[in-house]
Amino acid sequence: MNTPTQPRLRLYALALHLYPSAFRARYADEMLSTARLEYARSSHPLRFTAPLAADTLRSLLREHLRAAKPASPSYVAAFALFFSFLLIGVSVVSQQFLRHRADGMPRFIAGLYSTPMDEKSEPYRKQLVAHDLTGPKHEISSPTFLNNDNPNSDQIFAILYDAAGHALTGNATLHGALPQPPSGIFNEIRSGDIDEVTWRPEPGIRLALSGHPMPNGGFVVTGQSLAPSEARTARLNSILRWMWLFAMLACCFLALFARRNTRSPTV
Amino acid sequence: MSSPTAFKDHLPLTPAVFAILLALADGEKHGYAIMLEARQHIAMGPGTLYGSIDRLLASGLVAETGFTDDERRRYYRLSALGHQVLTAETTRLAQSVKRARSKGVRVLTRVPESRS
Repeated sequence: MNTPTQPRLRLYALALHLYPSAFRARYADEMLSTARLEYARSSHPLRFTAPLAADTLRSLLREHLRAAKPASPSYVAAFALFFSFLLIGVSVVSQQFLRHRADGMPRFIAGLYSTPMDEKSEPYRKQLVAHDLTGPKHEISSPTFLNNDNPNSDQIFAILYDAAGHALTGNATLHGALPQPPSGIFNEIRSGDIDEVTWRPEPGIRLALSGHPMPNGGFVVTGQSLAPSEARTARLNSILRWMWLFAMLACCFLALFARRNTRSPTV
Repeated sequence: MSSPTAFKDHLPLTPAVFAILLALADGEKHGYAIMLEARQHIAMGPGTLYGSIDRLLASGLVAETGFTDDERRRYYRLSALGHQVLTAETTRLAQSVKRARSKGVRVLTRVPESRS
């Protein structure tokens, strides 16, 4: 292939290297020769360049698709299996991530209650003031509380318990009474086995609880509704299901395309 | 010798392929000459032209007849199968035109240019 001197043709000669090697070896000289004649014939450089660029992009894509070996059905099946497990993995990991994220703010608030105030924790005093345990109380069973997706401490409740695990005071009620988690939870908090737990006081209510022992032998338990986090998980799972469906349809298409390509060439 | 159904497998033709076969209907031509004539029907650049020619050679509708001295110009001609396919496609299109006319669709002397 003789290198042209005109910059546009030189660029086109370079673009010809992007074609599949067999196609390039067979037609590159003819294509460049045709482009040369076309350039000499064109009345305006843009009238030559724009259609040639569009045609080159289209045909590059077409020739690479033609040159691509059809996907073997076994490779397609392997990919479908791999992609399915990948999406299941993404779903499980994201579900765990969102669940653990729901523990973050309750753990933080419980930590503020259970440790004495010092200079470092002073900036966070406002958070505790917002959790005035003698002020208005959240009703945990209300939809307003359950579905509160406000990303600050407004959605967190805090309850103080004595050493025996009896509720003393708090800024949340469950059907008018201070919530009373199972007593086993307090033993585990005291022994340090757990500090976060999912509590389901009744159907439709799931709470992320964080408990810390207090210096006086009692406990502080903070928590928030898991409904917003579970709604996010459901939305993500819905997206993953659609991705899986599209991927499986694409796999079916590829498998059919492979069978068709092995049967008859088309014009 | 192609079987009676062989040429039907290639129908309907894409506009680019039809234009190329039509350009070769009156004798062998080199690529640029094919492109100039095909452009009377459809916009076509070197990539589309040689990609289509490659597929036509592979499917046996077109055959190569030789090179010019400097071997940069190949000449192409219609094969017997190509003739059959072109005839069948022209017949198909003529029947479509006939049906359109019977439904009152006017045939203009010149195709109006589309507004961009």
